[in-house]
Amino acid sequence: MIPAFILRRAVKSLALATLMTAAVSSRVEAGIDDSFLVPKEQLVAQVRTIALSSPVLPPGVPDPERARRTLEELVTSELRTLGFRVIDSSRHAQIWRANAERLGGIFDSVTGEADQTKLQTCRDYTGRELGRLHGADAVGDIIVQRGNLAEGSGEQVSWRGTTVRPDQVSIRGTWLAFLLRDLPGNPMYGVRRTLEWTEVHASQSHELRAEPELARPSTIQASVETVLFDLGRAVRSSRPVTAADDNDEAAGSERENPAAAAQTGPGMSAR
Amino acid sequence: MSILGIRQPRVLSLLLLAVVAAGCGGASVRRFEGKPVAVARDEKLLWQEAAQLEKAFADSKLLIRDDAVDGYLNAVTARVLDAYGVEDASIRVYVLRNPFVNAFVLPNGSVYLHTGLLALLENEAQLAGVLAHELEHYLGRHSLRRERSREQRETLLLLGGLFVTIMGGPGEAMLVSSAPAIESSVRGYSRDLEREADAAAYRAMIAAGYDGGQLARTFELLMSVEREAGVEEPFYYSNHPLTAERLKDSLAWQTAAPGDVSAPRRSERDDGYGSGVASVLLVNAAEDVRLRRFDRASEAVERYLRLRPDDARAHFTFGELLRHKAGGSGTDLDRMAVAYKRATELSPAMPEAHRELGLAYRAIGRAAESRASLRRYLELSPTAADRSIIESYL
Repeated sequence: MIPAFILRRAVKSLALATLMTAAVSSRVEAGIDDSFLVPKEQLVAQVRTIALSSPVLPPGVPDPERARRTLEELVTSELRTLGFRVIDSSRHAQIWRANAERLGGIFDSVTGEADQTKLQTCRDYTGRELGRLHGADAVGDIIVQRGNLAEGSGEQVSWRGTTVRPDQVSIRGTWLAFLLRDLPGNPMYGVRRTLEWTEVHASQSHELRAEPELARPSTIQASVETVLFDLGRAVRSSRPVTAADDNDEAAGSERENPAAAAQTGPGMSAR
Repeated sequence: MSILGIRQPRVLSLLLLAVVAAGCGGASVRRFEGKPVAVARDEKLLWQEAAQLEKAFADSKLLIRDDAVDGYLNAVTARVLDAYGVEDASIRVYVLRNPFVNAFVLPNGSVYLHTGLLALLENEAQLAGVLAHELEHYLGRHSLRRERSREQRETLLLLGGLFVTIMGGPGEAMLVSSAPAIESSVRGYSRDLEREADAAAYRAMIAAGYDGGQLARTFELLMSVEREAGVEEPFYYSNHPLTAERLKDSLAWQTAAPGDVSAPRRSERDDGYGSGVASVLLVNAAEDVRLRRFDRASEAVERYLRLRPDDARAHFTFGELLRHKAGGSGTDLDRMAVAYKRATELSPAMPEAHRELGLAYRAIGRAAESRASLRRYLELSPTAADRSIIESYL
């Protein structure tokens, strides 16, 4: 039997993923480019303080607390470098838990399914309280999802120097998604990028990654930089960047988009 | 799978309809003159499919049903038809909840106006011009001519796919004119028939006693929207010539045939247009808030409030506009509270206004007033989903 807390995590992950999908649909329809779901100038002008929610992981990640901590620390560091004030996820969790308790729980203890009305109510009032108590302007969701990374790999995949059709390759792994919502819950920025591969089937070969998921901070760091790349570019082009707190990365520095160099698997590249 | 990636088995059966929405070009086809005409098989098919699409719109949440607005639009339509010398009871005019500026007509005579277009127009003469243009497409059977020309099928396919999205998906409210497919169709259609429809619209406006100069003003408004959206091509009347070209044409007609300048004109600000479509302004403002077009939403709410200053829903909408614009941050809390307060005064039984007022007071730090408003909210809405949270604030 699957423990209830895993089910709850899974449902929360699904709910956030749905939100991401809806958000991206809106972006496409609204004709807004890159990762922004609203005009980027609006976001940059409006958001100074971001309250992070606790990173959502798929079930079965080894040492999930460590992975969450690493993810949050890296995202926090990156956001502070961009000049944002960041409120750690414990504040969000505290308010969320209190609201969820007042609502008599959001998830069905047997099925693990969320009551959508309660979920929305909890999200709404958590946002309001984060604004009132901590001066937050937006909530940042960090979500790790498992999937077939080859799905987003384009028309050709190169496997150890050989071209493989995407339908002949399966690259299992994880995506990292970052979603920024304003306090009423409207999505403002949403990105999902490859985090790391874990298992590859291609050309009758099979390769398993030796390391457990989310074990290598440098891999997570690269992915975090990728999901925050567009946000960083917008911030740098709109205002002088002064790192928040004690982070002193040089203001206005331009970097290459790490996504351009990202590899989806061992000896594998996609285009 | 539709072209836009949305599963929809009826796509193909509806594609021709899109054609329909604007068709131009094609072989010689007799114009409707208000009398029955022989309808060939291909036109019957168009009409059947138009009826299907009309039903799909009717069943969707997109159609705005408001007797006052419908009555007003039908009255203006009747005046325009009269100018065309046509009595055609089969014309139906609908309003679609869509903040993008557009209008179209199906081959069966159902005309659709987006809320975004109605919110943009300034007076009845401009509305009459838009209706006259669409009616010319219908009366001239442009869809049939377009279909018979069988040109640029791919454009139609794209357009058809687009209509499918209207009927189902989560993004239905964005609709037609925002899509690249529509933009790509701009160059794909004959400009001649569009110009013909514009010219006919101008003549009909004059004949109906409207100020023909308002046609040019309409194009100026469209150009301002295009500039704001940063597009170089018009997305209004997707298949039309460039708006600047249309503006130039309409100014030329105005010079050549100004009409009876001494005749009374229905182009004044108080010509009844504002009150005729007032409720649409509020609906569209909410859509603009959703798109974060706060300035435009604010203009619409203010315009509405000038017409109906004592409308509680409008004051509440203004408060919500400020709340969403601030993104939940502390900006504009005082103005928000004023708007919500006014809404509660005008409609004391509007629970959501009391709730938002109470929460705004809470954020400002006016604890006693906050509690009073939140208590009132719970009295009015005893089974509210957020009851337990609100109670914890008391």
